Amino acid sequence: MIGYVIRRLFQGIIVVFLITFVTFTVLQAAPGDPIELMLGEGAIMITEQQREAILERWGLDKPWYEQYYLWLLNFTTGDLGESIVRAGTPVHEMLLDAAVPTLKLNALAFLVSTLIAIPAGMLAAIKRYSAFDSAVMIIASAGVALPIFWVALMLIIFLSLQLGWLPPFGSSGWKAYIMPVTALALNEVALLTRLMRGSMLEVLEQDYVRTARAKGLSEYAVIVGHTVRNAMLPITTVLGVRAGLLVSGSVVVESIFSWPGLGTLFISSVERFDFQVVQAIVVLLTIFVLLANILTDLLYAYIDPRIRVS
Amino acid sequence: MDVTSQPQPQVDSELNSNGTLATADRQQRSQLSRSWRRFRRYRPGVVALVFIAALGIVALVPGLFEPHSYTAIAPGERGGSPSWEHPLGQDDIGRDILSRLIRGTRVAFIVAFAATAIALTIGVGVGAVAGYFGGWVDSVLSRLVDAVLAFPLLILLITLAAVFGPSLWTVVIVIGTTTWASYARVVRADVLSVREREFVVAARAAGAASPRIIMRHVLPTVMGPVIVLASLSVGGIILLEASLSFLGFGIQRPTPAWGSMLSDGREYIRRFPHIIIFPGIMIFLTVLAFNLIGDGLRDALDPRQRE
Repeated sequence: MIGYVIRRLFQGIIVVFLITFVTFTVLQAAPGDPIELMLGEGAIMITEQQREAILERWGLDKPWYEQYYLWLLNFTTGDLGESIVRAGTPVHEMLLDAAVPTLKLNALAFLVSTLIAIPAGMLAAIKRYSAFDSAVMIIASAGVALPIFWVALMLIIFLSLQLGWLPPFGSSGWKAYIMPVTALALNEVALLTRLMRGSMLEVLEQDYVRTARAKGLSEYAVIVGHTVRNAMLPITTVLGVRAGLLVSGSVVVESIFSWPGLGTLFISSVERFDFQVVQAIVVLLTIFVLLANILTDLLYAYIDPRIRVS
Repeated sequence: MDVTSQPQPQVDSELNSNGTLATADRQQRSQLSRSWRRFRRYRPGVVALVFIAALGIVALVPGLFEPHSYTAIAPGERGGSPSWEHPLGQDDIGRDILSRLIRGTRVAFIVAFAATAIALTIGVGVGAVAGYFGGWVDSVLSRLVDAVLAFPLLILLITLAAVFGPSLWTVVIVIGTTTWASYARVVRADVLSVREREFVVAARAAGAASPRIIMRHVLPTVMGPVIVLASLSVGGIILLEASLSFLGFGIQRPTPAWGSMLSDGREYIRRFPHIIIFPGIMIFLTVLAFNLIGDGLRDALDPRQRE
């Protein structure tokens, strides 16, 4: 098991390395002159000497592979550099400020979707072919196909503009959380519910469930004692997928509700060609998703002894 | 579920030579019609197929269905409400929303099919090579697949679109080259299990070269799950394109895409809420329909993957 953990982490490091390289190279290929971006187009005139001094100050006079090497060196020591466009603001400060609201939003959405989807999917499976089951499946199928940015706008129209119940943007007060969390949790609830129902249906057909029923256990005891834990197993396998979904969803939801998080920071940095920040956000979010994936595999191997990793 | 309806392993037409080619062909055809019969049993899938077929016609010849020009601006009629003249109303600069929705169908379909085709080609290629050759080739390619899967997709797409300049073809290429990894995974796993089967070993013994074995003998047997995966991911790609266009990194004005129509209307959400209602409904229905077709195909082609 320990060998496996080490191997997975090592593979993860290689993947992160690949990703930093690809992002850096792609961003290098972007059109536009960094100095012009920093000064604003044509706003400030500078001499050739000043220009060279600025290039040197930011290390932009070196070839790109050297710049990458320096970036990587700093990155491994936890230094994410400074934003050129935002005149030297340290990138890690911006990231820290933005990470907290994003984490709150994502954690809540994760919690809410888990708490709704698991019981809903299980009940639907237990009451298979009932009206409840059909309703759950219809809602879940619809939920996967709904564009969350549209749902978010509809929520704003009805709950904020028409009824005036909730603030249409911002992150102050618990009321401000309701719509962003709903929009972010939507696709996840739908996916998880379908998954949970499928997994529960499979477990209910197992021999050990028939045996439990045959020995005279009440239906309640059969469900609680013999199926719930087994049916939860596949849910742990989608942790990585969910992390990816949340991160992508966050960008959209935050931009709609002007949420002061990483998603908003990311969009504004891309728009301003602030590539130091873009690079840092891409790498950090990738590491986050990657860790979730590794955690998933470990958790799975831990919970289900049949899959002691090969 | 009856056992006879399992998909039959592809019979190798060349090895049992001497005129059995026709038999293999007939077998393949009957397998198709059996799959179609199974697909037809799933009502929502059939309805969805009809809907998508109709949208497909609209996407091919949008001009036939547009009541107005999709670019005609009517300054005096900004945000006009639905009327006989404009059934879905007019947008923030007075353009006919129905006509723009119709034109937007074409964009959605081009992106969905072209990007899927690119992803399919790369994914199947990488997966087949990794699974067939194994060893270090497999290790390297599998790490690559891990890396691509670990990228939060939308973040990657926005970055690439910003760097290469957003346009229809940027969106197609960028989505295509970033969504292939799941195909590679599925194909690799299937190829791994197929490559030791008798008909592959026999082909190798008969002296066939690797590319030929992969193309003729291995890939046809693993295409079922790939088709299912493709049909299930088309909806996701339409959502991705819509999200990108909504955020301003996708299709650019004046080409109407459903996502950018939503983002145009967003600024007038207070005064003209009807502008953003209809594009969202179109995205929803189209994605739902593709997903339902995917569900039906999964039941028809790949019974192992049933939920």
